[in-house]
Amino acid sequence: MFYALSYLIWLPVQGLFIRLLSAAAERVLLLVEHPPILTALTASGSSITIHSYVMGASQPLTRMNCESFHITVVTALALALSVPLKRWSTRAKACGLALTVVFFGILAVCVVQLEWAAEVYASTHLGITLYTASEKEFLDWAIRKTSLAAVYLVPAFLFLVSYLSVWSAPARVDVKEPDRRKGIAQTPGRSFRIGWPIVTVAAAGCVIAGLLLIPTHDDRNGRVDLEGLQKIVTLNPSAPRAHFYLALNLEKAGRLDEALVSYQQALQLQPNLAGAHLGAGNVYYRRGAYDQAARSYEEALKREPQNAAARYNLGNTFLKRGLFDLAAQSYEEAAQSDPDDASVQKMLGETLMHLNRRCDALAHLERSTVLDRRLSTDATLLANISILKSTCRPQ
Amino acid sequence: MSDHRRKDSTKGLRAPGSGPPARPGWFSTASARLTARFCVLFILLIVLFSSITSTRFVGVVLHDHLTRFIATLSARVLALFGTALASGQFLSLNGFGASIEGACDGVQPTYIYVAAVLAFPSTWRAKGWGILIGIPAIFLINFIRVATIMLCGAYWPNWFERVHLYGWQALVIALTMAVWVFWAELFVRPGHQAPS
Repeated sequence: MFYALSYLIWLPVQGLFIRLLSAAAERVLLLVEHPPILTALTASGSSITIHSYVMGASQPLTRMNCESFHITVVTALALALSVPLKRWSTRAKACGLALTVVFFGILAVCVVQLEWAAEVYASTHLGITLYTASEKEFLDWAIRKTSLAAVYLVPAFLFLVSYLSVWSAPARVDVKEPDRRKGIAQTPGRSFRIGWPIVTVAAAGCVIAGLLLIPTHDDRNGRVDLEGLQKIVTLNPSAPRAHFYLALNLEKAGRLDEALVSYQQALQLQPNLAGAHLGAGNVYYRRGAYDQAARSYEEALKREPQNAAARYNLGNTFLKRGLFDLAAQSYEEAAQSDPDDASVQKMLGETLMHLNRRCDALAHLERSTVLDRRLSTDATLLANISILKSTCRPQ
Repeated sequence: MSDHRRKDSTKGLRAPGSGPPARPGWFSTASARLTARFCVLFILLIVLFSSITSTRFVGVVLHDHLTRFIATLSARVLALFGTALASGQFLSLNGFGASIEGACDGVQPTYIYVAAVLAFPSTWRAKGWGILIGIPAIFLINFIRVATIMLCGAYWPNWFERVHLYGWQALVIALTMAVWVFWAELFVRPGHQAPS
């Protein structure tokens, strides 16, 4: 009966609990991870999405299902309710204490499981490891121990302590009211004081509030920690993706020379890594070495002919060198690979304008404004469309 | 020493009939001391048992033999419901196979129970009875757990995960506590606990 009642209490608060857990775990990770690997957590329903910069983009790394955490909460609540306390208000206080203690137990489980989930994803899908051997050993140990503690130990401990408080209450009553000793001894719990749970709940509330007050970065979803990436490269010196992700983030940080070295290291380990060719091309492009950039993009396209980004960037190098025919051809191929990319449509339209193919240019420029509404306020683009509309003479 | 303690525990209390007693301060009552002593002892025993059961030696001697025994015993009982086979820690019923892992052998609830019995203020005789009754009871609970989970997996596979994770994990610890309450109520009566 108490088990069913606990479920009834739990179901409406599950979402809130997971959100609070996610927020607290994010702060704990900030405190315990040096350098940080997991930068942000977002809760939705009963799962937590893990964000990290390791893939070189601000996209979620993986997702962890937290549904099983309810076992601990429901068990602890059910056991707290089953302590023979006469007043329901006292039972409610005991439940509050149970929920608070359980929250911290689950928080510990959640933090280690999140780190482990990220590690498992990175090793199976990316071929890299995020933590050192000793850190992984500790995580493995911690998962086993914290899971045991959360599922069995914490609910049992709370129950036993509450029961003992009820049990030992007659000893105090004996001294206070000796005349009624006999009667009270048969009904333990009548005078049970639960002042200590309130103190504990209040203290725990302060700790949770303190945790939530730890400032996080505004851009934590896209936050990059180069120290963390260096650590990953050190842990995975022969993993091309480790060098590749470091290079991507170095490039983003504007450290082009180091980024190029890392791209080249990735290519030495895996010459057919198209992304690394593309990245090296971008570095050359930003340095103004358009010939080298074009060669890198062509290498990327040899490996991945449908890579729209490489086609588009190749078109840009042609445009920079004044080769409008070749640029238009590249943009057209990029548009075929990714017809919904507004930037490709815009560049293709502008290049076709240079080539005096006005009606084709108009169609692509208009399409770019449809694909990206922000472009509809671009004054230059609107002026070009207006000119093309007045000068386009369909044959 | 005991007189001194008794004096402390009644500190701040007035004589009967002289008005309401003063509210005892934090941690000043016998009850609070008893609870604190229990908490410390219980946690120390849990750390001790957890360390012992985590060792390689105990892993081989206790966990391996226990899981094999549970598998063999379960197979004999489950044979009443279909074709049951046991091989080492693996168990199958009507083609549904499962492995009895270390966490499913009932050792963890058992040492939580034993720690609770040993830490609880009672006589050594009562503690002895508690261990003697409790360990077989928890083994039985775990055995019923394994058997019902296997039956569920073989006949209602859609319910296997729910029964395994959500139902029995909570039930095991709830039933372990029920065994403890049974022991405490039957063998350690109120008013007879050892002095704090």
